[in-house]
Amino acid sequence: MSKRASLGQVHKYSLPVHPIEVPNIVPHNPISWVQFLIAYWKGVTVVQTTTADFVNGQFLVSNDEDIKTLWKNGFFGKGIFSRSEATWYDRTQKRLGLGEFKNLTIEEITAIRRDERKKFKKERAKLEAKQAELKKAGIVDPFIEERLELKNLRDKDIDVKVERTIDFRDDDQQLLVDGKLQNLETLELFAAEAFFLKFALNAINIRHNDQPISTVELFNKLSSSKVDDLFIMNYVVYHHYRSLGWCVRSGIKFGTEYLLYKRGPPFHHAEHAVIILPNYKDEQQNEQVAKDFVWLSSISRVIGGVRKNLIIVFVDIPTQEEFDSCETLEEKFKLYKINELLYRRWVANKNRD
Amino acid sequence: MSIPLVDQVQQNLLFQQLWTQVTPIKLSNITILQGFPKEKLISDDETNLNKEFVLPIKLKDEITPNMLDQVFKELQGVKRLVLGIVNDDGTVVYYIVHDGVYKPKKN
Amino acid sequence: MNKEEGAMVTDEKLPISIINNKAFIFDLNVIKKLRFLGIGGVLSGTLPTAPQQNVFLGLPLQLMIEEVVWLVENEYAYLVPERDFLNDLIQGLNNDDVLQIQNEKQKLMDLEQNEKLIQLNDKLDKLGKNNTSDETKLKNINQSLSIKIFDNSNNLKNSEFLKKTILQNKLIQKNLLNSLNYNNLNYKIFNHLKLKNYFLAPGLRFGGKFIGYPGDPLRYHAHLIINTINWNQDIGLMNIVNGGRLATGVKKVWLIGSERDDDEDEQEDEQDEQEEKDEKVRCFSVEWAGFG
Repeated sequence: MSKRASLGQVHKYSLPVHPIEVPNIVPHNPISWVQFLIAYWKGVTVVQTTTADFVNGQFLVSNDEDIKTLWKNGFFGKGIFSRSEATWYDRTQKRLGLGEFKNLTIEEITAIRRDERKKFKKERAKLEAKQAELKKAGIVDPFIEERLELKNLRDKDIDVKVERTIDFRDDDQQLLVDGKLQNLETLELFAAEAFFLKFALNAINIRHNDQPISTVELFNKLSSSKVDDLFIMNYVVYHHYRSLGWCVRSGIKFGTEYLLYKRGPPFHHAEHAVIILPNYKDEQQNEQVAKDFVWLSSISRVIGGVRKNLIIVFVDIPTQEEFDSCETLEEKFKLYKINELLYRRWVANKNRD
Repeated sequence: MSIPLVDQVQQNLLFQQLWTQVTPIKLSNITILQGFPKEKLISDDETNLNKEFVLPIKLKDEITPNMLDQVFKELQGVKRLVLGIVNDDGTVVYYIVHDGVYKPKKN
Repeated sequence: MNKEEGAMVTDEKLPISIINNKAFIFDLNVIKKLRFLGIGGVLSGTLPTAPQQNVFLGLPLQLMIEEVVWLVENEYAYLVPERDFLNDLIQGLNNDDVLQIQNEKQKLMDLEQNEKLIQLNDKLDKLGKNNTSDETKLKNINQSLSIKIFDNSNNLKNSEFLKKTILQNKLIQKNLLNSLNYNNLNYKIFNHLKLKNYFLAPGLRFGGKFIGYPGDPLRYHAHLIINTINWNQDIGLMNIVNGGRLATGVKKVWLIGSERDDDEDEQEDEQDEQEEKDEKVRCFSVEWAGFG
């Protein structure tokens, strides 16, 4: 429980732009009024600025502080050697027998859970086989029946108290410099994330070939300036959900474009998975790019299987002329409109209520 | 000259998935990786750890049955291939492609 | 496996009704025989005793196009066209044909008449009242002769002649088959897996073209979610991610079925037609690796 409280503290801000912090006003205390007015007057939003390098089409953040900042303030980016939060350094220290014991990382917990599940399934299979054999001989062993019943009450919160085994391989030699572990892990931002931090929040400096690049230059590198450019469509949807307060992350694990989290990965599993489709003004173009029902059925099946909602987002595409006639990026983006569709599998005899 | 895509998957295999002895192999059209996974790729395998082959590929790249066929042809006798699919957020997801019709094992 | 259990399959070809470019079977016996051939189809009619539900459906059985093609090519079945087609056919009958059909009908009626006469005589003998003449008896019988109206495809048995016409007329069969507009690749993959003794069914529910069982669905779980993709067509890595994830989650494998399109001369030696057609087929099975 205390872990929860501190998580809330750590992730107090959902973006790297912090609102003005004004102290509370205690009505009968004039000093608190003064403090409030001073804070208000000085009022400056605090922007946590970070730096990323644009190299080989990837946005990489190598500064350890920046990596932490981006994760704390809205869960931006993904550690290239981790499942989401960049924990490679800690994990590797433990694996190589360097550094101290700390809490288990998500990766370790997942690995242990998977192992336990495997063991559990093996045991259950053995029991079931025995049960089947005995049934053939017409015997019902109450002992086995009982054990099977207990096994079926699965323990979801497997208590992970494990001792780490040290695993130092030949390949790991190259990681050490003077006996100290080098942090090989960088944080990678996907295009929409990086662009959002730059264009919408101006909270990041992007370097290309060691030179800073401007928002417009970045846009030109990421998109072809055609109206139905994939980057533009994906960005518009990203921007839309971020500005509504959602934490938006990559959905590739489930075959969708994005996953929407209410607060962020450490708090709760994502509820929604987003796929993006274009909606042209010209019906003929729509027919050309239309996906078939088999595809939709497949995706909805995967999403349903992990208990998430499938949101199909249709992005209204403006005409090329409208797009070209706009001067600023803001104007261009404003031409796009978002339509959302929630898609759920309905089975007649199960979903009666 | 090293290819960034192949390097990226090699690093991921070595330092996140904890594979060992991961090295590139140059085929006629592409470069793939070979190495030993941390655990048996498929739990019902009779023998112990096998050398596995990984094809690094970006999510947005094209892949056709023809291309898969060519890789299997060049790796004579190899029955399965791992696709290392790189997304632009740095995620690498791995899928096994078996040559032919394969019977699923219990998971 | 199918051939052994196919003891029920006789030499007589099974009729498949083609209605509105879809294939239906209305006869329960035909359905049973098809099952032994490893062809399942999908029941698509309402159950008269329980019309307000769709969990359990009844006749007719609808077949996939690929199933129809397979049955016809392997000479297990023939195609029966719809009413309009039949009407045209009947219009095209000449006098001799009509006479022949009438003769058949007359024969059937005579047969029935004689049977009824024998039955009547037996009854009267038992009651000890057999004293009227045969003529009077026949008059009475004729009044009660029924004209059977068959309500299934057995109707055609009424006219062996018509049946033979349709069955033997290769042009009709070929045209009917072509009117189904089947996709060649889909059929090649279907055939390939059928040769490996898989039982195939529609795969929409699982995001594929077919779903494959290693035997009858009542005995086995499905193993394969089958998709057909052209040799040089992009499979789509997102589809691999999706399909592999979906399949692994339900203990199946995501199959890519394709066919070489090069003109390479494979083997030169004698092969029977089936094998030759099949050897260009190439399949790949995808599953999630369990890590990453």
